[in-house]
Amino acid sequence: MKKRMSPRRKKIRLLALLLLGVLFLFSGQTAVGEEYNSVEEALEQEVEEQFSALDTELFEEFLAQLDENTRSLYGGLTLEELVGEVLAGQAGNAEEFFDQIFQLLLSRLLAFLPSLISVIMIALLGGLLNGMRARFLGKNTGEIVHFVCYLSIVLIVISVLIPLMNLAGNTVQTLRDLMNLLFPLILTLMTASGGVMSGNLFQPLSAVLSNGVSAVVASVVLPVFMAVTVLSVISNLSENISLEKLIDFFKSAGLWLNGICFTVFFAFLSVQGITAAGYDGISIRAAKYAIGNSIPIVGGYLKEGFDLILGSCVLLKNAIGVCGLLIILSIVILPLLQILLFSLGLKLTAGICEPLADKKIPAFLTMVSKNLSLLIAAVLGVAFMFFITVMLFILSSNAVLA
Amino acid sequence: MSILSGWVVAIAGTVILIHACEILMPEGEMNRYIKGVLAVICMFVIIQPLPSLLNGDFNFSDLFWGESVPVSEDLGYLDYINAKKAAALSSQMTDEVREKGWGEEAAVEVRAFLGEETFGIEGVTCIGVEPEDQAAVTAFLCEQLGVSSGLIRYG
Repeated sequence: MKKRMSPRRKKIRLLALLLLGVLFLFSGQTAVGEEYNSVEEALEQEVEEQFSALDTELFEEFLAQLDENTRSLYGGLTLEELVGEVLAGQAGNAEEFFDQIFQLLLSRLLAFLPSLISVIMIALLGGLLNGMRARFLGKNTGEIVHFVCYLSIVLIVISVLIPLMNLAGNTVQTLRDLMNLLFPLILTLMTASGGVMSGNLFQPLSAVLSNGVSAVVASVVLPVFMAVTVLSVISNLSENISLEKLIDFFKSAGLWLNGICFTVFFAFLSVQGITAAGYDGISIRAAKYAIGNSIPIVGGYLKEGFDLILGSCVLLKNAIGVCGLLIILSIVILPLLQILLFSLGLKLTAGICEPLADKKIPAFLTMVSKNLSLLIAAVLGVAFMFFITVMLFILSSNAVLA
Repeated sequence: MSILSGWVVAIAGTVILIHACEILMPEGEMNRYIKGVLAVICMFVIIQPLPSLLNGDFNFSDLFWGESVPVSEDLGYLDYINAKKAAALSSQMTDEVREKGWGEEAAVEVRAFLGEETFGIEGVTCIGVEPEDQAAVTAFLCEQLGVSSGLIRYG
C-alpha cells in the first residue's frame, strides 16, 4: 500500500470501490466471471507472445533426438505444445504414463528372459557334469568343463550387462545436456520476472550441478562402478584367486565419492535456496513500501501492463520448469527400471541355480546383481539433484505477485 | 577414463591366465612355487598404476571437470521483456497524467536500458505538458517510478 496518499485521492478511491461493489452486487456472477476471463485471456496471450520471443531452438532439437520410448512417455510433443498443455493444466496424464511404462517394461522383460533361461540351462548342465566328474572324467578335464560352463554363463550375462552400463552412462549424459539447455531458459525468465537476486544466486548453483557434480559422476563414479562389475565377474572364476577385497576398495571409493558429491551439492543448494528466496521476497516488498528502483509498482492491484508482464513471466517460468520435470522423469525412469529388472532377474536365477550347480555360479550372479544397484544409485542421484534444483527454481521468485 | 579401463582389463586378463595355468599345471613338487610366483605377478599387475599416480603426473582437473559449459541468460529475450515493461509503464503513466488533468494530449515515454539483464529506467520524456504543471508532473513521476528528477525531460 502507498505510504503517502492525499486525502482527496483516498476519497476518490473509496468512492470508486463502493461504486464497484454496488455494481457487482447488482450484476451478479456474470460480471465477475467476465472480468476474470478477460484477465485470464490477456495473460494467456501475453504468455504466448513471450514464449515466441524465447530462443528455444536448441531445446527443441534436443527433444527431437531423444529416444523413441522416452518421447512416448511425455507424449512426444515439442516444447511449445508441452508448455501449452501445462498452462492449460492438462499435462501428464498419469494413466497413460503408467500404461506406457508397463508395456515398455514388459517388452524388456521378454528380451531378458532368453538370457536368463540359458543361464539356468547351462548351470543345470554344469551341475550334472559335476556329478559325473569323479567317475567318468579326470580331475583336470572336470575343471576344464567347469571353466567352460562358467565362461559361457559369463558371456551371456555380460552381453546383457554391457548395453545396460552404456544405458546408464548415456542417461547421465542426456541429463547433463538437458541441464545445459533448461537452466539458461529458466534463469532468463527468473531475471525477467524481477527475481534478480535469485537469478544471480542460482547461476553458480546450476553451474555447479551441471558442470561439477554430474561431470564427476559421469567420468569417475560410473566408470568405477563398471570396473567393479567387471572385476566381480573375474573374481568368482577361480577358488584360489579372489579379488573380493579389491572390489570392496573400488566400491567404497565410488560410493564415498558419490556421497560427497551429493552432500556438497545439497549443502550448497539449501544455503543458496534459502537466501535467494528470502532476498527476493524482501526486496520486492521493500519496493512496495519504499520507493525502489528495480520494480516500480503502480496502483495497488493487478492492471494490464506492468504486472501482467511480470505475472506472465512467472507463469512461463513455472510452466517451463514443470515441462523440465516431466522430461527428466521420462528420461530417467525407463533405464532405471530396466536395470532394476535385470538385477532382480539375476537374483532369481541365482536362487534357481543354487541347488543345481556348483556354488560359484550363484555367487557370481548375486554379486553382479548387487553391483548393478550401484549403477542405479549413481544415476538416480543425479536425476534427483536435477529434479530438486528445477523445483527450487519453480518455487522461488514467485513472491513477485505477492 | 582410459587409465581405469586399461588397469581393469589388465587385472582381468591376468586372473584368467593364472587360472588357466593352474588348471593345466601338472601335479608335482614345483606346483606350490609356481603358484606363489603367479600370485606375485598378479599383485604387481594390481599395483602397476600407483607409482605414476604418486609421481604427480596425474591431471586431476581433467579427470573431474571435463568441458564446462557456461550457463548464460538469453539477452535477446531480456531486451524484449524490458522493452515491453517500458511500454507498459509508458501507457500507464500516460493514463495517470491525463487523469490528473495535467494535459489532455499528454504522453509519457519511459525508456529502459537495453542490453542490461535487469530492468532499469534510462530516461523519461513527457510531451504535451504545460510548463506550470511540469513541477507537479515531475514530482508525481518521481514518486511513481522511483527515478530521480534529473532523468525526466520535457519535449
